[in-house]
Amino acid sequence: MKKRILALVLGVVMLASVAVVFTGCGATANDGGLSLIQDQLLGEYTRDLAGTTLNVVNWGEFIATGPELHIVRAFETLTGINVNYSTFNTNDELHTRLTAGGESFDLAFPSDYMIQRLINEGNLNRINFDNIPNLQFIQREVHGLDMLDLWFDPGGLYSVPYVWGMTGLIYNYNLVQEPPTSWTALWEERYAGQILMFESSRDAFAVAKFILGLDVNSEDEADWHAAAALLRDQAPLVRQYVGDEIYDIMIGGNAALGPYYVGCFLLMRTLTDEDLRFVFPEEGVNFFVDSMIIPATSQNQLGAEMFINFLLEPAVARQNAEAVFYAFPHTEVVDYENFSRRGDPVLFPTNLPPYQRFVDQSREFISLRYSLWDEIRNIR
Amino acid sequence: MNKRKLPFGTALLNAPFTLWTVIFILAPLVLVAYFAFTGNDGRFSLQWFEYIFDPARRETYLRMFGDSLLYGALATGISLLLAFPLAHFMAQSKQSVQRVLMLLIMVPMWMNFLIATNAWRYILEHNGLINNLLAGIGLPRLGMINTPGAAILGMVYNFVPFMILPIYTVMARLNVQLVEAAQDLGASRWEVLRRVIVPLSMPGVMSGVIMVFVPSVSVFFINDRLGGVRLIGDVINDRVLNETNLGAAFSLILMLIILVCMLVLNRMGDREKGAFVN
Repeated sequence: MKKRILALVLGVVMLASVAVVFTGCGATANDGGLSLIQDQLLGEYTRDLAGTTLNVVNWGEFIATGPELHIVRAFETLTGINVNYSTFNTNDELHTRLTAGGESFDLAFPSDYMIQRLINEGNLNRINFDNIPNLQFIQREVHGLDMLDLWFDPGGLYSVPYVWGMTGLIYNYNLVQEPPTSWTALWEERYAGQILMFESSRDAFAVAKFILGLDVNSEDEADWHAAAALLRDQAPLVRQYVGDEIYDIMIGGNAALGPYYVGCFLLMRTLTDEDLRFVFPEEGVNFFVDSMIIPATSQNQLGAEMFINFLLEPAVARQNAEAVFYAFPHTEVVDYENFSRRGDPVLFPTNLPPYQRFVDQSREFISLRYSLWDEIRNIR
Repeated sequence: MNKRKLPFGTALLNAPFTLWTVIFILAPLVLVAYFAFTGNDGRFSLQWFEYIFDPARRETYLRMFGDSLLYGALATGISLLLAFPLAHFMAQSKQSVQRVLMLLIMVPMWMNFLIATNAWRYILEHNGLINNLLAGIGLPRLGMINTPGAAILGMVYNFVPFMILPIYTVMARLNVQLVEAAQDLGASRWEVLRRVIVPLSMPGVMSGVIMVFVPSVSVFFINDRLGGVRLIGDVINDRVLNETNLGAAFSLILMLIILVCMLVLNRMGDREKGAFVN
């Protein structure tokens, strides 16, 4: 008898949890919110590709998934294409997945220098822009750069810019003695044990090089050793070298300051009561672009181009820009009256410090950077 | 030893496992060795080992290998100290208690280690669970996160079930009459433990030690996240994406180190048997 009651209780608990899961998903309509925007779509979306699969790989938290518009689901409803969506954490990881074989992708969102490497290796397909009429909405000029003729893809043959952003210094106003204006705040003894630093060696070396006034892409060994010396001095003061853990640490008020990307700061700010602030240090910052590319292994190039066109639809891009906290180089987003971050001084700074951009580096210097980084990280 | 041909049926039954071993165990090992000894030009080369043992880098990497061994050994030792009494207690408990304890040991293993590690961060953080409790009752906060101790805690938390299970399995099958016989012959509880239970549990202890030591030595992420301690597993994780061959060379060295440790442990295990059980 006892066993039966136990079984009954367990059964009820299981059913209840299933019910919770299903109602939890009910935030976005089944069509992904397509009906709300369908009459605003400008492109022709045939169902010729219905039933095909589109393999997409993107950064985490980098596309709108509700509550109003779930972009992937809306696109599936519209075109009948099955989108197989996955995420990646680092450009290096993505490079391995795109080139190692085994997996095949139709659309990916790497950063500038990695796109340059993929182009040089012959791992990308040229995009047929006849299929992407919404390219007209790309904002041509951002901080003096032509978004359709960027340094990593001259002439814009292989990529369509998705978002751009910059690095900067995040600090907790209540934990710093005065608001920092320079990267050197990350070297100050008084913040020892409260300093976070990039775990990505490329970004960490860039910070040291901004302070030293060096070229972040320098192919002079002495520059790298100089930056490494600076990073070695910093190591004893660093609380932790971080990737996305910076969210938890800053949100919880567990560190005073650390460098990171602007979009992550904007998202972080919405998740906490801590007084988090952002500054572009005077020595300079890294300017980056994450673009959409079609790998050479793609099995569904037409579907990928259709998806790119869909992402550039003004109605879609506006919803996407609310969900992803980076700057979309899209005229219908930037000029949109009701955009909640319109003119945000952190997202669209008018007084930008000098900025540097990453280019793909030779193996030799990547290897040098890693070995210097191992040594720095081994300091206790 | 007389060589005996296996009956055809047994050989056939064994085929899937042999195939598995060749494809998923031997082939990867050969590939790791192949990559480690192949240069960027695709020819045989010692360049990766020269890179690692280059005088400018040697100190860094030798220290990291040393740290990995040290942390691995500490995590294994602490796991053993925790697991042995628990396994002993479990083995002597009622069947129902044993089942519940077994479940409690297994449940944490169902949870992804990334989630568990982040949970530990939250618990140990300066502004985390423990410190907020301490501060709440007026005690000073403790610096727990980013210490070697936190790294070892994370490793022990993740790997201790692999120590408990083999020891428990051996102890549960231990012949109670042997213990009773020792008691009848006037052995104290301490002597029973030292001269009967410990020696008879040695096979379980040995497999537990191996099963905790191996993942502890090659651990990555857990140590870095909780202890801010970077070990050779992190280096391999970093490098293998950019320079696969260099990652393979690091990996090969680590495998050799682990192999040597296993041989030493096996020797010790044999000696233990010789001393006590005969």
